[in-house]
Amino acid sequence: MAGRLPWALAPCALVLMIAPMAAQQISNLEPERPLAMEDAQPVSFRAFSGGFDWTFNLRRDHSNDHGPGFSLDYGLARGLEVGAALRYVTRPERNAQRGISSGDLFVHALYALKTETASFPALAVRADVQFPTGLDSRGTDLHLALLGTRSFDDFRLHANLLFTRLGDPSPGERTERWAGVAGVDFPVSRRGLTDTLLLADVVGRTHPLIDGPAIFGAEMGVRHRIGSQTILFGAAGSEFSGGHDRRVLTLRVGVSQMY
Amino acid sequence: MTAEEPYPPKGSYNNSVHRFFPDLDARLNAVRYGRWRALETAWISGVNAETDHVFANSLKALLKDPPRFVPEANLVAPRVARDAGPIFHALRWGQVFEQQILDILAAPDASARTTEERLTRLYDLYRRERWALTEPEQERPPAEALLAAPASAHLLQVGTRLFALAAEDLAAADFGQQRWRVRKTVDEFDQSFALESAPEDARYRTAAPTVFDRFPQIAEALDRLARFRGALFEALVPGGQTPQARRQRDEAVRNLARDWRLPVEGIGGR
Repeated sequence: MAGRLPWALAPCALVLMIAPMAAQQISNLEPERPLAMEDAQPVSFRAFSGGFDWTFNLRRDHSNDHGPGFSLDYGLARGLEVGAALRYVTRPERNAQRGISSGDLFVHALYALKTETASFPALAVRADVQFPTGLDSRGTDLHLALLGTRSFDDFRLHANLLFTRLGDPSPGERTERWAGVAGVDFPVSRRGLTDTLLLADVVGRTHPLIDGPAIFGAEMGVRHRIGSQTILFGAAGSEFSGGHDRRVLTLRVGVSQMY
Repeated sequence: MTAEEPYPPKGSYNNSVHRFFPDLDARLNAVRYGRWRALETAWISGVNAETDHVFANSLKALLKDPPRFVPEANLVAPRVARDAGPIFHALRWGQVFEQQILDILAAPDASARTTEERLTRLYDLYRRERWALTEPEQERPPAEALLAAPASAHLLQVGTRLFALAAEDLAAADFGQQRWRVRKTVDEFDQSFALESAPEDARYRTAAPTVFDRFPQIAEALDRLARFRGALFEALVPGGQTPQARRQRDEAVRNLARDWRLPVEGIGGR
């Protein structure tokens, strides 16, 4: 893993080197930036969005892990976003046995099916291919998601439905998995500014292992603009069910930058 | 395919006003917030004495501690973004255009040649977009909105004039002299809000003669944007409180979009 880290840092370093510019993207939610939920809005045409975070997972059985995550998205066309993401975690061998990858490369495309109108929410589809570039990873996996966003006067609601099919599951691992996310975000400012966004979601998903119970959890996070195009984000979450190794507490902090 | 406008054009000049003239940038941001708030308020409640009072007070409060960053328009005016997409995109793309012009003029490496090249490129990029405003087929002079909300109209006009004066300061002086001219303009802007003096002409043609002489197409495009904003408030006078008012408003806004050669799909319909 150590040999791969400098390459993993390259997108982040590139993002930090480039100059900031004036536009706003605080409301453009990406997965794990900071919550699992994503809005049905691709990155703007010709925009780059890079992110870096560090996530800590405190587990019920004390097999805690933590590690960095990197992402880079690009608005390839109007309504079409492509991108890549990578996450490393400690205890990769043990995590691989319970369906958590470390170092796998995710490549995705997100397409906006419909922008929001007076009578219809925004809809988008997203497809990720997960390549087994990580330690103890096997098979190429496919992730498909349907994303919906509806704005109201003071807040927005988001719903994500995700399906995963594993290319080469380990014995005891579920080949097909489902997940659902429902969340809300809204700007928090007594003066009506849009520099800070508060977010919360609930997540339900099938356990990676065949005999594992369904996993339910909730998260809460914040995105705060610290530069014209730089956003600091943080989140805390917990899983209420999910077996002996469920995440009692997840903490995430990171930055993202648009260019 | 989504109707979203593209990301702002990239250039080394981006954010120059934010970096080198933070006091000016904060006030420009307050005006940008004010414009989007006024639009959202007018879309929902119409243009009348009550909304005039509420909006004028909120903008004055915002100007006491102006914001550091440009507002995220879809969060400030979510209903306009959702219910009148073409109008929203035209205004947001216009805001990007206006912001980048100031950034180009304020760039520390600006010379007469680089500024002209950059502005020409920016103007071409702006016009290439479907949300760029062109001369309307017909234009009705705003009258009712000005009478219905005089305080708001005054504040927005003072704000528009600030953009023009800032462009003039940045275009008429070199980098060393710009800060003194900008400081004077910022001071005058603060006083004009406090005193509620009679608004002066906010058009680039008169308030920014250097910009108009050197870059007439750009000055005309910015004046056109201000005229469009005025015409839009005129169309929003009925508001959207009752079904009848909503129908009236939606029809007026669709007519406005037709006049200004913008798409009408996605306007109203709720």
